[in-house]
Amino acid sequence: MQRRYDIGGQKVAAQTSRRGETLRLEIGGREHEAALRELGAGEYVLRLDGRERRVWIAADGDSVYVHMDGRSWRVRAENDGQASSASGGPARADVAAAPMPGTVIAVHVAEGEHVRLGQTLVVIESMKMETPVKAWRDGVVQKIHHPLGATFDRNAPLVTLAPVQPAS
Amino acid sequence: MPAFKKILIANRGEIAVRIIRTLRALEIPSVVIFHSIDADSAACREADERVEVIGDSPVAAYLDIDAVVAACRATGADAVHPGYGFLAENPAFADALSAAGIAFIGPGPEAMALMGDKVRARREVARLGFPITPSADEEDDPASFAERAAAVGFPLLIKAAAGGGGRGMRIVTEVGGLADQIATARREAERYFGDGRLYVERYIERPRHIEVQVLADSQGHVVHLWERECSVQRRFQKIVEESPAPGLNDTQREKICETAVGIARAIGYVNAGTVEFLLGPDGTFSFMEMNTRLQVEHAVTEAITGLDLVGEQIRIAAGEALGYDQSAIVRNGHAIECRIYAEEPERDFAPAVGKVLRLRPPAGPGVRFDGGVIEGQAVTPAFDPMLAKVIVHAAERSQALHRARAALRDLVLLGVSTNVAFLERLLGHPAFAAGETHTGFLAEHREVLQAPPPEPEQLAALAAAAALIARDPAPETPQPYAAMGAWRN
Repeated sequence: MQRRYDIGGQKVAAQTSRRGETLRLEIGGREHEAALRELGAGEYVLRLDGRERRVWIAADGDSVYVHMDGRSWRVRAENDGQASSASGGPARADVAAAPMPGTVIAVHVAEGEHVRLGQTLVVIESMKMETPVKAWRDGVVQKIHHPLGATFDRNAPLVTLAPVQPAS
Repeated sequence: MPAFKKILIANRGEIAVRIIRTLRALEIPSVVIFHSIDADSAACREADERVEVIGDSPVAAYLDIDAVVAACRATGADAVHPGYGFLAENPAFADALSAAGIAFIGPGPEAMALMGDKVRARREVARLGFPITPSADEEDDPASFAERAAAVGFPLLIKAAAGGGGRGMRIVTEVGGLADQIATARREAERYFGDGRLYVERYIERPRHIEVQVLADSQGHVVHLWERECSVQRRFQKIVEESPAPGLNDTQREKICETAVGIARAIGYVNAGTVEFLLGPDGTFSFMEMNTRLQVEHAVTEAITGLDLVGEQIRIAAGEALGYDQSAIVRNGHAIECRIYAEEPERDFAPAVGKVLRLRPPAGPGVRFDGGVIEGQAVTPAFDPMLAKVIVHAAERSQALHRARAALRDLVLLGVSTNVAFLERLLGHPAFAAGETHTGFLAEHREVLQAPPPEPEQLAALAAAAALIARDPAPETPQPYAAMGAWRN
């Protein structure tokens, strides 16, 4: 089956098939053989093309976390829809998304207001850190997605900026 | 005979667990307060008793003085350890406990109030004849503050008079940004500390942050437990601390430690405290502030002195004399602490959230892991993103660096992004290894922030791990084709 992963920002497309305990996968034209043997709670031996490594693996939703080679990695499974939105569809340019979960602690603009590049729109706070969200271009505030005091999750839309309409 | 019958910990996370460890050693029963968000936390599991506190937010619950007093009464606790943060430096809290006949394990309210007001503290320290950096205080004349601030000279640092922990601090490099930065700093100061008063001080370029741990008993004995170097910071918060400080020679070390003792003695300080200094590239040092509590990085000092600082705090709060003098405090080897944060160094240290799916602390000779999280626990934006600390101790610095890096590589913490791999790179950086640390280290060596991309072979291994662990969904292709597996075209 075709699988797509985001590994620390790198996109990986793998064609996989299983035969018994062995996984065959093709990445970028290279064929690999892999197998996993569980040692105990979350601890495994991962064999890839004859090389064995001790790894820890935990899965949560579309993410698989792997501790390997002395560090941890997040491997996120992508379907085609996610892959295209992550790479930035046309709508993204109009919305400021939350870089982290937090709370809206100040709203400096109103819907319908014209704003200039660099103008502070809202101020958010996360883990006791204050971050202004500034206009990334000239535009008209179309929507403030969260009122003052509201909390939001990472990647939640914060402010939608419509392009400035040319004067008629 | 234990010093106290029962001790309540008005804190959470790793420091609550840390304090419980000492209480167990002293055979004193422990109580923790907890907000429901922490009901399954390590601290709640480790404590002998737990009392729920409520509030408008989780943080507010831990700041509720009346609730802490009530919890002491309900459980029979006759002393409170505040840990760090929350109520640890709140004189009103110490007063409230005192009025209720409960001991506060920390300094008296007067010293706390003096050192908690950074403006008053600097004035008092200067008046006592100790060195401070050039500065301007808003309250001298608020109308001319911006003007007087500019006169201190750029770059300068705006700080909250009631501040700490890097909050409300701003570097201003030129007069143009000054008014905006003052306004932002004031807003932050009002929100975090309920006190918007500010001061500015000259920003010393490439300074080292050196702090000295002191212990003072109620009979007037004051000793230092040597220094810690905590220069490498992000957002004015420390991430790595070590002792001894690599940039100090023995003469400077004696002098800075003696200065700290002098300040503590002059203000009549009692209990554990930390005097923070900035050490300029020219070797001169100046008083920055004094933290009137146990610090996050106290474990570094415990490693090189062999003392249990929490135990010493409890003895002092019970009125015992230190029972030893300066000559008895011998430095042994080198210790390094790395703070493990839920954050993404590659994205300007943005805090991360998630769930701890797997935790395997590092182990081995000279390795200590102070953690406050357990498997299954959610990491939420409600609190500071520090999850744990890795502390190593070795005979000398290069061995300690190797040990720390190995411990960081061994630490398995899956389910939330952390700075662990970044810390391992940082400790391996040639400038860090050479001891060339200063507070602008990360700005100067930005390359250490970027994780090297995985090798193609690692990518294949990671993709294989993910594919193998995923429970295969219903086959997408009809069985006969799927069964053909790799032979299918």
